[in-house]
Amino acid sequence: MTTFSTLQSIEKAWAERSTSVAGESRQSFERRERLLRSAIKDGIPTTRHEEWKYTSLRPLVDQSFRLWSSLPSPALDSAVDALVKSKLIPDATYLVFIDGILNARLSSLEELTSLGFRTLAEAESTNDASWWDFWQTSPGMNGLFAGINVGFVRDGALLELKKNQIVSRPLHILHVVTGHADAAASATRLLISVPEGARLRVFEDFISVSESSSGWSNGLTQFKLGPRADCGYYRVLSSPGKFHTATISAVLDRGSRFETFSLVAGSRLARINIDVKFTATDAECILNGLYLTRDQEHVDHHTVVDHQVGFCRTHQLYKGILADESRAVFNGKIYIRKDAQKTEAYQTTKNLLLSKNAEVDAKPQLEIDADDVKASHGAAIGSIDPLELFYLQSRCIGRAEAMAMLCRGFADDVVLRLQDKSAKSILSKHVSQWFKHEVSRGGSNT
Amino acid sequence: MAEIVKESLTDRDYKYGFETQIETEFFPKGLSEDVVHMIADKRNDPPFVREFRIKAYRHWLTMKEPTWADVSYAPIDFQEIRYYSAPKSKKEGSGPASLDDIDPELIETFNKLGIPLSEQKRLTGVAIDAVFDSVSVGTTHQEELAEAGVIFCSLTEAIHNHPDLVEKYLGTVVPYKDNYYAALNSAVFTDGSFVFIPKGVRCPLDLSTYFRINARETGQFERTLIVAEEGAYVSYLEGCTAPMRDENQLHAAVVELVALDRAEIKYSTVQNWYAGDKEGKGGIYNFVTKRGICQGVKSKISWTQVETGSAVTWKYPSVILKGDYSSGEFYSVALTNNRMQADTGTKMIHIGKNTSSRIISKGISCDQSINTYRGQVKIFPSAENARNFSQCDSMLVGDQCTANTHPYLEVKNNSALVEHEATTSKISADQIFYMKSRGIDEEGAVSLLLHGFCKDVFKTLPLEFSIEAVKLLEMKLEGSVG
Repeated sequence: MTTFSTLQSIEKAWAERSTSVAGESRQSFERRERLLRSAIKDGIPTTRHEEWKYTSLRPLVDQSFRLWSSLPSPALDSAVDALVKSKLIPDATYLVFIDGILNARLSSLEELTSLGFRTLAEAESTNDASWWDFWQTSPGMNGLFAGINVGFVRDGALLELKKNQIVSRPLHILHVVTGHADAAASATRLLISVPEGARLRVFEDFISVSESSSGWSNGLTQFKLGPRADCGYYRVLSSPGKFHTATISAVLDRGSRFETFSLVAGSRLARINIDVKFTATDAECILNGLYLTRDQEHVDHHTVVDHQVGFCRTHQLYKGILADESRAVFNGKIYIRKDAQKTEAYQTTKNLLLSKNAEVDAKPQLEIDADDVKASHGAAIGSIDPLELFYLQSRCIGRAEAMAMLCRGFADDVVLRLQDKSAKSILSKHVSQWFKHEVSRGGSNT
Repeated sequence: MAEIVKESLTDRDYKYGFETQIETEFFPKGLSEDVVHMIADKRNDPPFVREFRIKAYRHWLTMKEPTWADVSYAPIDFQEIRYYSAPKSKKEGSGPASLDDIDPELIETFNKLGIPLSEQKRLTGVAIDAVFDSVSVGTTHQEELAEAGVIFCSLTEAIHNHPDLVEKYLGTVVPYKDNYYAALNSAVFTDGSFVFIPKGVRCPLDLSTYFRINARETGQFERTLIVAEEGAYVSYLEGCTAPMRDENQLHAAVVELVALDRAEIKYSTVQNWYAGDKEGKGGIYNFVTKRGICQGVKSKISWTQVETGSAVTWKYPSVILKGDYSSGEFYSVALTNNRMQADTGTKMIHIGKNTSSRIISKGISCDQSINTYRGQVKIFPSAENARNFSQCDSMLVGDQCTANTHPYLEVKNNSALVEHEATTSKISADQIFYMKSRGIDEEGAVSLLLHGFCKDVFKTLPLEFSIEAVKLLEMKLEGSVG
């Protein structure tokens, strides 16, 4: 089997891929193989591995997802078509992937050209050293799922803005997992370069067609920000019952600003790695997130912010609301290297446990090698304050509604921090949807 | 001129660095099952202790040295260490029968360290058990304590005089399988202190153990066991020093605390092992396993530590909160300078209902040292209404040092409330200037800032310890701030 289950089967999938892909240049093949091999050299990690202490990959391994399939993109039925159309945000430039393969009909290819769009295959045929450098040396590229993505990616895109290009329409990237029985795990890769003075907002959504079937999306999204570039990246994962792994990396140049928001509102098991590296002074990174979990969902965020130079700022806030038997993991690392004086880095995680059986594992970490910095981190885990609940109930608000109000207030605290108005309203809608579902099923108000 | 000033500072850095010339007997270097048997023979171990050692040794052989801490050091060659070294007793047998039998040289050593052993000098009102290399050389105030029903003696004595108590509690909090160094300690421990406070007794004196490493190439492996029965209270202090040497010496101790219903144990440490010179040569490897269990309802265990010495520290005093309404506390000031490395913190394991814990950790790193806080707060599903508050502050002095914070929060019960916060700061030239401009000299300014930074911890220390701790910090920081 060419599945994601053992090291041998990954090797086998790689061999199958190598023979079925035609016309790949030798250098790109070798680079791919090198990254894949280094990612899997220690095998599939167990919970004895520090980075995987709280997240077992067993459920994912047990599914035996096919890593590679040379089958063409599945034909779209009208249901998928309708779903995609209902999810697209208005007035945006679209890039749609179905089971990891670019769908030209649903994507707005013409408008994409103005964003310097090329497919991954096109981009990989160049010899440009700086492109290959971007391709292989972003932070976080040594991770297991980054390597798997690089090895078995089926489609992807490069977007290269021009200097000082201000893009007012947001870019909406939509990934759909159809859950077709013979479909391989969907692996898509995006490389986004926002050069000097340019501005771009990216929305990336991961959705699925049906809750019942299984599926796995493995994303790799890389950003490169030039001097004074401004990039917003808002990702939403709402594919209940599906597996999701993601690697997001960003390299920030002088005076640039990178705002991210990771919203998880539905997934069987999600592991999201975000790596941000500051390479020049005066840059700013806003790293926020919200995870809403129910049933036996498992959501794991691992973020690494690397302050290699001074005078940069990081603001990080991750919040979580956990119902039923769900579990969330937050591991935030902030490195402040020796020469990164005058760094400001603040990290907070707050979690609300709605049920007795929910679990949170938080590990906020600071590693500081410079003395003239302002850095702090905080973590809080608790449940709804019974006094707050009583206050609302005493004002004739039903218990379930009062719970929902308090939870909503807790969630809004992070959503409403978004600087970008459209991002704020779009993410707000997703949160509302989750709460609507939560209230309609009677909530887990224990 | 500058040279002279520097010289005198270095001299002052570690005033306990002398070596006592005393006739010692020791085992050859190396570790094997035979050596473990030799130690058991030497200590006249009853069968249960010998068995414990052998099981631990065999298990140790199967284990790997831990590498996860933020410390790096040359690998330890366990065959290059002597596992037993003791000052020769005037009389043959199992150690000195009374204080009069102690070699005057030893008394002198402890006097030099500021630890009066002779009972006539009841200056401190503290009962002391003095451990010199591998053995306990004497315990003071035994009669007074016996009157109250308190047992305070060396572990060897306890094994012989109270074997039932030792057998009941030894290895129950830190099992020999616990970790690499705990297993090693369980195999080769030579002595240590034993404290037993019977039901309802409030220990009339503060108890104290003073650890001294003297002999070369010797590892110190002591084991402390403190049991507080229902409603008992004890305050226990621990101090440590070692001579200045170029070689590294290993200190792998185990401390076990057991608190039954409504009992309270307060354990304070001022650790000042030799930390090596400015280039990081020499010093003690301090790999210690300390753990207490709040077995009974409303019991309380409080750890306070002031860590100012050791080349490498690897130490996590923990509390298992098993009894309902039990509480655990951890107060720590860890100072690292030159090339010291400290990876220290705590574990609070909440199992019982309404348990609470509090962690206050202050790390000060100077020069090229690495100071890491690593703590775990674990709330079991059974721990209804558990509460935890953690605060970890780091102070960085100079731009070459490192301060890391690795808290692990694991919450499996939604009625729990767990909070963690951490900040970093520095003693800046501005602050010093501000105080100087108000007529406070530099030394006073630094001391004032330190007091403020560490106040939360120092106020939990017994008075004499608190004064000593502040002096120690000031001395260590001198010349680092500028």
